[in-house]
Amino acid sequence: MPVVMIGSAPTNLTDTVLAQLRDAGWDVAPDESGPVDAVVVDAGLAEGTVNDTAVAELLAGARRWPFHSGDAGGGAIVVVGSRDQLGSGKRAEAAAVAGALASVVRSLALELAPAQVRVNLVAPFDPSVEDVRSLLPTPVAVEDVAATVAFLADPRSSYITGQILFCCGGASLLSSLSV
Amino acid sequence: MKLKGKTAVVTGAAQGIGLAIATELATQGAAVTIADRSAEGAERAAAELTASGLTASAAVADITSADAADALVRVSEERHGPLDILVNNAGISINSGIRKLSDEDWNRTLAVNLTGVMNCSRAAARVMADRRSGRIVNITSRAWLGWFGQSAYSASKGGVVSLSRSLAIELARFGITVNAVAPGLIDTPLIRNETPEVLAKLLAAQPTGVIGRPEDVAWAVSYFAGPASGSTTGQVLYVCGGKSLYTRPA
Repeated sequence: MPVVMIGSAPTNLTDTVLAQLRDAGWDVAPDESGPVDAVVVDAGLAEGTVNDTAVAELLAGARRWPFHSGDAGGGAIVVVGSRDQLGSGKRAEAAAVAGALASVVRSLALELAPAQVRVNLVAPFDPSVEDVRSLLPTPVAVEDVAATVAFLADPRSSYITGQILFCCGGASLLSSLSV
Repeated sequence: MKLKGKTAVVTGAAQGIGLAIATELATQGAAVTIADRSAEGAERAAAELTASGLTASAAVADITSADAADALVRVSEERHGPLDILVNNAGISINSGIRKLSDEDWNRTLAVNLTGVMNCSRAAARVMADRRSGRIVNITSRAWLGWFGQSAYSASKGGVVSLSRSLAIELARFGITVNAVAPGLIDTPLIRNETPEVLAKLLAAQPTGVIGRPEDVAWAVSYFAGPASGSTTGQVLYVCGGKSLYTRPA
């Protein structure tokens, strides 16, 4: 199963995602030219980058990426956004992009559902960037974020689309928008 | 074998979604206690799993009783060792318009779907907290968003959502994660009994035009039960083919 990883820059997170996808049996494609079963997009927000073209790139890409067509067709898009989509007192610009990504993921999930292309989002946070903390005894691990991406990319998640999974150790639970 | 060496209790596991969850967890290596109000059903399910070389045992439990929930956790630990994973799956669905809803149906729905989840979660939290680790996965329903004739069912499942969030907040410091899975339309005997007209209507409301399978729910539960969800708590994951994304009242 070929998968393409699209990231703003190679980071610890993108490297970990790629390693876990390979472990799970995915064949990581060098580019988006051939048929793919999954596309993983890291918008870079969780690493502190604010890329305001991320939304337009996701919209254009989702309609262009070469998923298999026909009866056995379809595929998965997994976007790594940020828990800042809930609002941030320090990173309004990042929150704007994160919020737009969440909205686009839900919309693309509906748009692409007839083609059996699933679109989901993982919303982590980086404690070095954002002033929130995990409620769990250990900080949010990059391995857990990557494993969540791999879970949503897996063909066995075929009935899950348009969903947002916060990988934040419960740090987002008090936001009314988190449910 | 992501759950090798782990132990799990799955309630309402004699059939349907619960049995699929028990099978998935056992296939991933967990020793599973199959709890059900039906002794015969639980034993049949456990026998099925053990015949396939998996580790499972049966336990009879009426989870509306706190004593029964405590006993369930105790029995599971005696047989399989310290409890790592609790899946609160047992539930009932009684549909009735509010004007005809009986006190009995309301009370029974809340007793099984909400009090039952609390009883088992409390029993599990007591042993998990001492060991500073654990996974609780609650089966709610996308119906908690509300639907015609489902006031009792949706209120009970909405209760499961807020119970899960409170438990996630309270138990996080003990290293226990609490998450919920919200299935949408799933192919169970309940669906197969519907008339072709009703079935067509249900299908038309599915963005992907597909009805989910119990295995789809079981896979999502296994994520929350396993190591991949180490940083994820208090979440509600809809396994509904995208139906939760929009509402189109009939």
